[in-house]
Amino acid sequence: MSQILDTLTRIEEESEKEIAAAANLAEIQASRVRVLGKKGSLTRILISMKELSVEERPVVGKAVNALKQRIQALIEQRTAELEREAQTGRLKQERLDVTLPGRPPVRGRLHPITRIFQRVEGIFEGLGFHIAEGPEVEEDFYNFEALNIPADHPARDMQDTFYITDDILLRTHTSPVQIRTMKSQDPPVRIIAPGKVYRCDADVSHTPMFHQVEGLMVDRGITFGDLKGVLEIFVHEMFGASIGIRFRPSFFPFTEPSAEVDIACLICGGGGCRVCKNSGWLEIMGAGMVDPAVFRMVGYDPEAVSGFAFGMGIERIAMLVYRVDDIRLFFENDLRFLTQF
Amino acid sequence: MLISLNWLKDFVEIHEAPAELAERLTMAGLEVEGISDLAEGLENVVIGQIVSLDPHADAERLTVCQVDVGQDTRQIVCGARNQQLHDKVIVALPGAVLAGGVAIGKTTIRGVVSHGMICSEKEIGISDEADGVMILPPEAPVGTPAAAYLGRRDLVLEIDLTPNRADCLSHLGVAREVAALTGGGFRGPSTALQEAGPEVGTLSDVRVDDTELCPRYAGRMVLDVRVGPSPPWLQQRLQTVGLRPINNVVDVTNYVLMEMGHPLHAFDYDLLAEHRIEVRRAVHGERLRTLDGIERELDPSMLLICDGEKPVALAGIMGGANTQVHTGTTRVFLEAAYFQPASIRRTAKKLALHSDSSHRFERGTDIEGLIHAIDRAAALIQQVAGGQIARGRIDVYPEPWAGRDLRVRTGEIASLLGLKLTTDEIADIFTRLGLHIGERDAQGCVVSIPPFRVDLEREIDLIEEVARIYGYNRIPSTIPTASILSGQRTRQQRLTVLVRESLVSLGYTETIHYSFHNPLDLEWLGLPVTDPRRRQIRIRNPLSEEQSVLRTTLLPGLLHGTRRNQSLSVDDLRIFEMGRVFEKTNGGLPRETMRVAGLLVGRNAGAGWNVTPRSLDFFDLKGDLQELFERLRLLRCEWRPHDGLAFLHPGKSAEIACDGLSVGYAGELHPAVLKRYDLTGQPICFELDLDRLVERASETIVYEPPIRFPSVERDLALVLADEVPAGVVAEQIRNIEPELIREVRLFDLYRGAPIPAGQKSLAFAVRFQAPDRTLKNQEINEIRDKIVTELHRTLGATLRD
Repeated sequence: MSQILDTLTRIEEESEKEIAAAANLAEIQASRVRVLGKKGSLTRILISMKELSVEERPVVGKAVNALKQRIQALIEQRTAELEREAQTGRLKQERLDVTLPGRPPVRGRLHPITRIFQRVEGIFEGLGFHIAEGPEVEEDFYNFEALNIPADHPARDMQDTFYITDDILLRTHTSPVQIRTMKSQDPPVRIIAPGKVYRCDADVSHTPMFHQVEGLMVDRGITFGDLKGVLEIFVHEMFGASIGIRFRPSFFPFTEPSAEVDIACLICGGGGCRVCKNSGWLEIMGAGMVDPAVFRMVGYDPEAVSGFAFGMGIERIAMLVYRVDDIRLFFENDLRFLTQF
Repeated sequence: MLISLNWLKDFVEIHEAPAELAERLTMAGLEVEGISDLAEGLENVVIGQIVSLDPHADAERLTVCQVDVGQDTRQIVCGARNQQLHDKVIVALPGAVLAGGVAIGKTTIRGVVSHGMICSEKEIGISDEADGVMILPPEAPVGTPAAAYLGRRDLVLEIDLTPNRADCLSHLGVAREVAALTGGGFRGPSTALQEAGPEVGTLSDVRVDDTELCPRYAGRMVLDVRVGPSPPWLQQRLQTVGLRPINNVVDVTNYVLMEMGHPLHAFDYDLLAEHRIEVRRAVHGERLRTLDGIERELDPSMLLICDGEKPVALAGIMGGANTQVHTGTTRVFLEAAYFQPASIRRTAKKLALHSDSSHRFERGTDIEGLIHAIDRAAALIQQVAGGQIARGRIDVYPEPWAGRDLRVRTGEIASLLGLKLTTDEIADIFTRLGLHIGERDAQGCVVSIPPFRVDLEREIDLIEEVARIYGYNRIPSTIPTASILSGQRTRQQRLTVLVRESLVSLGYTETIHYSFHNPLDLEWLGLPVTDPRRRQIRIRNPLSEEQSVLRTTLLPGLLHGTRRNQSLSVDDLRIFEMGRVFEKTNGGLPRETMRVAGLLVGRNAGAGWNVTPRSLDFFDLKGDLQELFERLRLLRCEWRPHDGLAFLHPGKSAEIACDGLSVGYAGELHPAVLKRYDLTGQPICFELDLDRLVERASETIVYEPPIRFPSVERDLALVLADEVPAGVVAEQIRNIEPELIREVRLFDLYRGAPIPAGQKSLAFAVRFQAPDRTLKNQEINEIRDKIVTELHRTLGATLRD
């Protein structure tokens, strides 16, 4: 028995050395076979155990098992070490040139006009405004008459109109949607109406088709102060909380009092530049309290309700926000322009 | 409208700096768009006298002048030829920077030193006259700065007036406004005059036939005038506001127009047949040559000023050439009238003749104040052209102005403006505006409207005046206390956004084209005359023939856009547009429907080190649209072969139907269309009726539990007749065991040996899965056999070896 125990000690010492010296997984495997394989040294001892006495067997068996576990642990440990080394070596070999260009995804872009529409709509939706729509080919009544712009009124000069017949035309503004909305529902009304409008005019700053957003809020007790408050919220959301804003008297036949809304020039910050014609201010929309004549046209009682309306040109805002200097670019559909947005 | 600051100061005290004044006016609704300094470019420009004049030794076209400029005499080389010895001229000395930005210095011209430049009118920016140098009258004082001599020490405000402020179309009107804003003292122009000689009634007579269109007509006469150039002050003032001096009589009428805002007309009395005036409507076919030399054809909607036998002026718009004041005129008949605004506007519009006079009449003039204007003009004519003013006026004014009183409720101001003012504060604002206050109490006040404020007709007009003068920016901003409303979008709006966002995420870039087309576009698309898209609506007054009809399809816009990009060497395109098309109806408004259309052409990606590009084809587009339909939860979309569209390749186009209803088309463009639009590549396009898509789309998502049992995939290669559509085969496979067949995916299509001609091989990957168990091989094999048998029976398909 002591001979067997000596052999175990020898096997342990030899295996320790061998495993520690193994340079690769194959050598470890060879060591394992030599000791733990079917004909391995430890296996042989286990087989020879039946020659031992009943008293000796458990002693030797215990020693053999302990050694077996120890060698297995050594093998596992060395294997892990070798794998780690191998991986480190492999990772050292494998290299990407990370400066190579990536595979390009297909790019689609929203039109800059749509992007501005989305921002404007989002702000007013948050304030409880619905989106209303109306036809682009409109009756003279909705486009002019009901908005307090009778035929032969000089205010018609403010807008050059495309006509289809004597009383059907391409709407010159989104304001007719106000009329259609009020005619179809009772107050309170809170809508914005985005859409295309048309005027027969074409040069660097005018295209025969462009886009507007109209807004209308009618309820009991709405004041000019409310108009200012709501439009200030819009301007601050759209252009930044610190932007300067002012309201300037103006004239629109369908609102009274009427105002132009100016913001501090986005380009020069108010110091004066070419874009703001040195005034430091940029006109961005028209607004006003709904004229009582308009209320009467749609069957609302101006003594009972009041409201305000506003309208802005989307191209104008897009030009300011994106610093576009020629309005025609929006409709030339040059992808080198459109894919910048 | 141009306003001279000096002229303005004739009527109102101004202590504010010009920029401050401009700001005050702008913030009161009279937007000052610019201030120009008339003396700009006239620094170091003085009056000189030519004291000697010699030809240049080396240049035939040049002369060498010695010019006395006051302190000294300068040698100046001059290229003009109209100057004579002793002429008084305008000299720009070294250091001057002229209106056009030309800097003057000492130079040597062909070997001769020149100490300055003798200027033309254009060079100093007072007119466009560039022909020769400006010759001044002999009395012009040598050495005087040109700015002072030419009356250019002035600033001009350019005011963009809104159409309601007719009262501000004059210096007097703006002065009133300034007085209201700044409190500066105001005084109107003098209208005093000295009459002499005969009563005007004995010289002339006025009859007004149509008192509706001409409610008032006044006349005066000035006799023994000498017509000639106006004195410098008058010429300069007119030039300051952009008018060209003509002669002293005409200049006075223009002067009073700019000063008081009332248009006047001067006739040569001796050219008026029977020396009388008749105001009537034109008869059909009547003609008049207006002062601009154009012969106008008139109709009975137009009001005419006539003499005893013929038209002599287009009322309120322009005088006739036949009776205009000329150098030989000695007796002047002055007209000041009030014409109905709408009628003037209609006539001016019909004749496309817009004048300073029509501009004012159509906005409304001061029916009472015209008397002051005619008196002022008569006095000024006498002052600048001599003669005597006949006694009295003719004044046909059957229904004198009755005045207008308006009541303003103090409470209404608070509830509309959100501004609490007392009646006294409100009345104070009206007083500043020159309006008279009648009765007043805590509830409100009565305001008398002067005749020149034609814009003040209702209480709301006065409320606006309060807001305007108080200052919009001083009114406190508030957040409305209003009923709660949700800003929800409609289903249509949400789904429209979804379509747009989906296409963008699939790589399409949004375009926007004009809603009008060239009528030829439909020819280029080859649409037959019976095609519904031919029912186009024509614009009556298009900007051009290319933009003269409303679109009935979005396709031409995309084709023009593609052409444009290809011409710019942008060859790989995926574009789309969403917008309305317009279909003619039987009377009334057209039918507007929302469409979405797209086009792709070129390669799927730009070539790269690890990317091999390939041409986009029909199936790229189909894949994109299928994805779109999936997002819209349109589950039953069919692609039907379709050869009925003239602009698509007959063998490579499809009609798309959802729930059996056609929603649009997709396909390759017809080669003939490519040629007509000059396009390269093989564009594929689609156009869908968005309204129909949205109607059928669903926003409902109902969760379906994922199956916990494994699925098994089997490949199935079938050989069958070439004309059997793959979609039909896949559909049949699926229907054989719909409960257990989860997916039928075509992964190979093959034609050619060893497959017999006229046949093709379709290879499907069929995925089987049961919701409640793991399928056994035997079960799957049985279904597979059933598929093969069934497809053999219905489609003649056989298993490929």
